[in-house]
Formats: sequence, structure tokens, C-alpha cells
Amino acid sequence: MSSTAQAIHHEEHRQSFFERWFMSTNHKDIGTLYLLFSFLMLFVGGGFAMLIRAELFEPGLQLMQPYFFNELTSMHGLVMIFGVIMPAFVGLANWMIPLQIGAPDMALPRLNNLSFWILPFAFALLLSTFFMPGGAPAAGWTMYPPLVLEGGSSIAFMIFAIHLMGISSILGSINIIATILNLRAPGLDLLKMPMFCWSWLITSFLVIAVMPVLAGAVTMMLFDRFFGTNFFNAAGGGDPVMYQHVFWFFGHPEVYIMILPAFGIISEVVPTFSRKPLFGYKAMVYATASIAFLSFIVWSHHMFTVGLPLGAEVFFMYSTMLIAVPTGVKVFNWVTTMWRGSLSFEVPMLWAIAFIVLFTIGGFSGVMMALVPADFQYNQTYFIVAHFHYVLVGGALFGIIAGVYYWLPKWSGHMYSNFWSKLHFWSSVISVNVLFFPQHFLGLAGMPRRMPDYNVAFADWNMVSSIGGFWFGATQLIFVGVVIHCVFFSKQKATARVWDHAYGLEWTLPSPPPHHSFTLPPVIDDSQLAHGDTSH
Amino acid sequence: MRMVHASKTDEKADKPVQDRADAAMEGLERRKAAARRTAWIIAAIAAAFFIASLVQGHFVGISNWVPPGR
Repeated sequence: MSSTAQAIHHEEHRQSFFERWFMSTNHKDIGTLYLLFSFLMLFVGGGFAMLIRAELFEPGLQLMQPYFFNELTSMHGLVMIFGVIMPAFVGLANWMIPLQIGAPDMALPRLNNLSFWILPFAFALLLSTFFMPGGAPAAGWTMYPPLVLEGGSSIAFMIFAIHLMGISSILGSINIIATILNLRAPGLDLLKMPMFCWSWLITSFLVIAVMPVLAGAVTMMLFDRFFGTNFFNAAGGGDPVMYQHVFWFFGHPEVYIMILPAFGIISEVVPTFSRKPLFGYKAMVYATASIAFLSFIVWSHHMFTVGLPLGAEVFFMYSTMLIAVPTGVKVFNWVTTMWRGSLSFEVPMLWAIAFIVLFTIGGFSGVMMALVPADFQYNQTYFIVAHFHYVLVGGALFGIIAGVYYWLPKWSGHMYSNFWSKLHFWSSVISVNVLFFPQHFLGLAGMPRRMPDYNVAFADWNMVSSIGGFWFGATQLIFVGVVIHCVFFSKQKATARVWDHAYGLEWTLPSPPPHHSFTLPPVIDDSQLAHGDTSH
Repeated sequence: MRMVHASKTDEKADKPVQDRADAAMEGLERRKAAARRTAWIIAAIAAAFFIASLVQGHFVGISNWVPPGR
């Protein structure tokens, strides 16, 4: 053992609980913190969703006043996007990227600690707005002016919280880019990297490009609200539609920030349980990059009804439909990877297959909305709510859960309960469809979103949707039980490789991996890499 | 199967293990220094996007600014 390695070994055993979890610079510990934070916020944001579905269980106002309902929908969106999906992916990136590229840690470990510890303070600020005079911001997660400017002073806290979340995301992305570009083990070329690393490298560039734009938008909003500027105030010569342009220049790539890492996870899981290499590895890399590029030139499809020039509507319609091409490449490549594979249906594979089906449903409804004349019908209805929940729950969240079930034995060194994890899957996949599929019907029938009351004509499907919501929410408690049992109580040890056709550097380490791994660069053996032979 | 080893370690295969480990650590330190440079470049790009969004707002908003109280 080298002198440096010995020093590291001794440092590991000197750490107190406080030092390990609050001052940690270890990528595995910080990854765990991100995942725990995300898990906690899932139940906070999920709690808001339960309240929303309880109010919508039947027509009329039962549980809350309309303003509080709108606070809930706004905070549900912000918490789920910035507090659950993004931190969960960053947690997975922290855990897996150094292991997958043979690096000893992230390139900037102290920055990594800062990136995480900004988040709890940001969300404490955001959630504290519920207890302020005037309540939490209630203009939706998109925070459109002039409505948002009519709220109380709590929007200052929301804006500061968004700045903090943005800084956290940007620092995290800088770290991921610097790590992947500089700390890959010698011999691990970019085109031999696992798809999860590729998807995160591309996602990081999206974050770098668009989070500062969101920061710019909310900074201008802050000035409009408190310093007398009129960026978005038509009465003072400003332009509220400009906010929408700036916001959606961030907002649409944000959708891909939340789905590209899931694509990476599915591209890891499907080949393992198909016992075949990923079909079209290079095409998958180029398709990911193409989706990222196209995400910058489609933002106005969120604004078809604001009165855009016809030429702009046609351009954004076609550019949006174009995204279906690289996305289709990915879906067909996953299916082709499975084609004539020696399939087995372990829990991660079940989630991956559900991801492919549900994400494709959400993708199809997205193509429907890309059509300008049709979008005028769908705009601001529950059809939109159904669409993006299929993409973000059936897509992003299911992708995260697939990743957790795939790598949890590697992280913990133990296998989880097959029965309870399969129960979690089947209960989730059925309930999520009971929850969101009826919302297509409600939207097509004209039910508006962000409304606590509705016409009695919508009563039946709302009741079905709410039952699905409570069912899906309760089902996630099984997930908590499975994870706790696996980490603390499971007697079944996991082997180093865990899954018999899993390839990549992470599977060359024992389960769980040592606190400090790859302190010396590993020797790259192409036969042990998932994409070592790039000729296939 | 193609074997690719850490840079320089092939040439020094006959040296003691300690030397090889130290050489690898030196290589790692060099790559970490490169990572820090990459981080600064990416941070500058992020700052540029932030400023660009404000500049865009300037052309629509500041030019019509009505100071408070007027």
C-alpha cells in the first residue's frame, strides 16, 4: 500500500459521524446524501400531491381554499423538479460516475460537498414560505408574471431559493464535466464510457447553459417586484411574454435534464438483463447529443397560444416533432437490444421495461401537442398534466427507481427482498396508470388544470385518478421498507458483479466498494467493459 | 482483447511497486490540475449565459424603466 493510500485508509477510520456526513468529500457519501435528500423530498412533494388529489376527489371545495390549492400545485412542481428528480440523478452520478470511469473521486470533492449542502438550505427557504404572511407563491412552478408579482413578499424567498438550487446544480455539473473529461482511467476512451456517463456529460452541458438563464429570469422578476423595474410589466413598458421566452429557454432543456440521465440508466439495465451488448451504442450517444441540441430550439411550443407569429409557430412545431427522431432511435435501440436476447425479468429490468412503455406513451402525447392547431385544444387542460406526468413519473422517476434497484446491492453489499421489490413494482405500475391515464380523458373533455373545483361532468374520472394517486403514494412506502431492509437487515450478501451479465468497471469492485476506490488507476480490460468493443 | 495500461507504468514495469504507485499518483495530480482548469472554463460559460439573459432583458426592460415614485 502506498504512503498516500495508507494516509487515506487512516483518515477513513478517524472520521466521526459529523465529519463523515456533514464535511464529507467522498463521492459515495455525498451520493448517499443526495439520494436521501431526494427520497425525503419525494414524500414532501408527494404529500402535496396527495392533498391536491384529495381536494379533487369530488367536485366542490372540501378541504382548502383555492389560493392554498394553487400554493400546493406550485410548490409540488418546484419540489418534485428541483428537490426530487434533479438531486436523485446527481446522487446517482456521484455514486456511479467515478466508479464507472475508474476515478478515485469526483474532480472537485470540496465543491461537491458545497453543491449538496446548499440544497437543504434552499428548500428550507422555499418551504418556509408556507408560513409567511400572504402564503407561498401560488402562480404555478412556471412563476409567470404578472400573476406571480401579485403575491406576497414570499416570492423573494422563492427567488433566492431558486438561485441557490441553480448554483447547486451548476456546481454539480461543473464537477461532473471536469471529472469525466479529466479523470477517466487511462485507456478508457470517451466512446468506451458507459451510457450513464455519456448521458450525464451531455446533461451537464445543458445545465450549464440553461440554469443561469433561469437565474436571469428570476433576477429580473425580483427587480420588477421590489426595485421598480418593468422588465415584465406591460403597464411600465415591459413585456410579460418575454418572461415566457426566457423561462422556456430554460424550461424545455430542463425537461431533458430530467430525462437524459434516465435514458442512461435504462441503457445500462436493458443490456444486462438481455445478456446482449447495447444495440447501436454510438447511435445512442449521437441521439442523446441530438436531443440535447434540439432541446434549445423548441421552447416556444410551450407558448403556442400567446399570439406568436405564424412563421414562429410553424418553425417550433416542426422542430419539436423532429425530437421524435433521435428519441425514436433510443426506444428502438432498447427494444432491439432485447430482441432475441436471453431475457430475464429481475426487478431493475421490470422498471426499465415499464419506463420504455410509459415514457413512449408520454412521448406520443407530446407529439400530439407539438401540432399547433391541436395544441389550442390541449392547452391548460389535464391532457398536459397527464402528458408530463407520464414523462416525469413513468419516465424520470421510474428510471431513477430502476437505477436504485440496479445498483443498490453494489452500494450496500446486500440483496433486497425479491417479493417486496416486485410488489412495489407491480403496485406502482398499475396505480400510476390508474392515476394518470384518466387525466387524458379529463383534459380532452376540457377540464382545466390548476383548478380546485370542476364541473360534475368530470367527477368520475377525477375520483378514479385520486384513488390511483393515494394507491401510488402508499405504494412508495414499500420502497422505503425495501431499501431499509436491504441496507440494515438483509442477510443475503451481494457478489462483486451482482448481475451475471453486468459489465463495466463498477462491477470489478467488491460489493460494497471500499470507502476509497480506484486510488490507483485500474488497468482497462476491454472484455470487462460494456462498450469495450465499439465495433458492434 | 486489448490491454491498455496506465501511462508510463508499462515502461517502468521492472521498478518497485512503490515507484509505480507514486508515478500513478503524480499522473492523477496532473489530471486533477487539468480538471480545475476545465471547471473554471465551464464556470465562465455559465456566467456568460447569466449575463446574456440579463442583456436580453435590458433591451426590453431597462430602456422602459420607470423609477419608483414617478
